[in-house]
Amino acid sequence: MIMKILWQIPAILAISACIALGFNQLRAKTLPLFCPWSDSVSEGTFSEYVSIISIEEAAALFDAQQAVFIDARPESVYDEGHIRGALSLPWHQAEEKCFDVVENIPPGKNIITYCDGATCDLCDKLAVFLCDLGFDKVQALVNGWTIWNQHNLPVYQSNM
Amino acid sequence: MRNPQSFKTHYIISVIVRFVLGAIFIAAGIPKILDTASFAGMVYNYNLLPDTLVNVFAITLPWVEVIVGGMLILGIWLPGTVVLYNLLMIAFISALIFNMARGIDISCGCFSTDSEDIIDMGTIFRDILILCGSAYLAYVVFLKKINSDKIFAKKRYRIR
Repeated sequence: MIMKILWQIPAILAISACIALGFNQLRAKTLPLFCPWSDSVSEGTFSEYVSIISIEEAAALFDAQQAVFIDARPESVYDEGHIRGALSLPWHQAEEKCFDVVENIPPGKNIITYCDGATCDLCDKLAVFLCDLGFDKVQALVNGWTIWNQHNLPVYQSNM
Repeated sequence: MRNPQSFKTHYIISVIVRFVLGAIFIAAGIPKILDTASFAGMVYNYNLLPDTLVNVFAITLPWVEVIVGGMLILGIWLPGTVVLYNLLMIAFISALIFNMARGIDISCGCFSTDSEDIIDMGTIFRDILILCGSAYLAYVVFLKKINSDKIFAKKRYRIR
C-alpha cells in the first residue's frame, strides 16, 4: 500500500501539472509562470483615477485629524477591528449605505479608503465610487489594515 | 471475524463520501481555472509563497483539485488520491489558521475568486468538516481495506 502511495501521489501531481501548464499556454489570457508580484503591486495595479497614499502620508493626516478613513471591508470584519475613527462602508453595500456615511464626512476633509491584502481592490473601487459622488480628495491606502498594524498606529479592536 | 454487513455499510458510506468530497474539490477548482489571474492575487495575499512560485502554484493547484476530485469520484488510484486529499486539506486549514492568527483579513479563494469572500472561523470549521470526511476515507481505504477500483462496478469491493 505504501508503495502505491509513493508512486501515485507524484503521478497525480505530474499529470495535473502537465494539464495545468498546457491549458495555461493554450488559453487566451496566458498567465506568466513567474511574476515579480511585490514589484507589480507596489507599482500599482489600481485605477488610474485614484491616487494611492503612502502609509507615512496617511499617518500624518491621521495625526493632524485632516482625514476621514473609510473601511471598504465587510461590516463583520470592520467590527472585529479597524483604524481608529474609521467609518464602515463595505464595497458591496456602498450604494445603499453611502448617504448615511457621507453625512458624517466634514466638507473639505481628505478621504482615505482602505481594505486588506496587497491586491485587495475594494478600497480602489470604493474610492472611484466616492469620486463619482463628487468627492475630490479621495485616496486609497493599499493593503491598509495590515500595514497600519505593522506601523503600530491607533486601531479599534473588539474585545472578542 | 470480519462482519460482511459492516464492510458493506462502510463501502456504501464511503462511496457517498467520495462523491461529496470529489464534487467539493471539482466545484472549488473550476472557478479558479476560469479566473487564474484573480486566484494568483489571492495566493499572493496569503503571504506564504515566494513571488516566483505564486503563479505556478495558482496555475497548478486548481487542476490538482479537479483531478483529485474526479479520481476520487471514479475510484481511480484511491490510496494516493485519498492521501493527497488529506494532505491538501491539512495544508489549506494550516494556511487559513496561520493567516487568521496573523490578523490578516484576506479573501479565502476557496470556492470562488470573489474578493469579498473573507476568511473567518466558519471557513476553518467548514474545512475541518471536509477533513473529517477525507480522514474517514483514509480509515476505510487503509484500515478497513475496502478499496473499490471503480465506482460503478457493483459488488466489486474487495475485502482483504
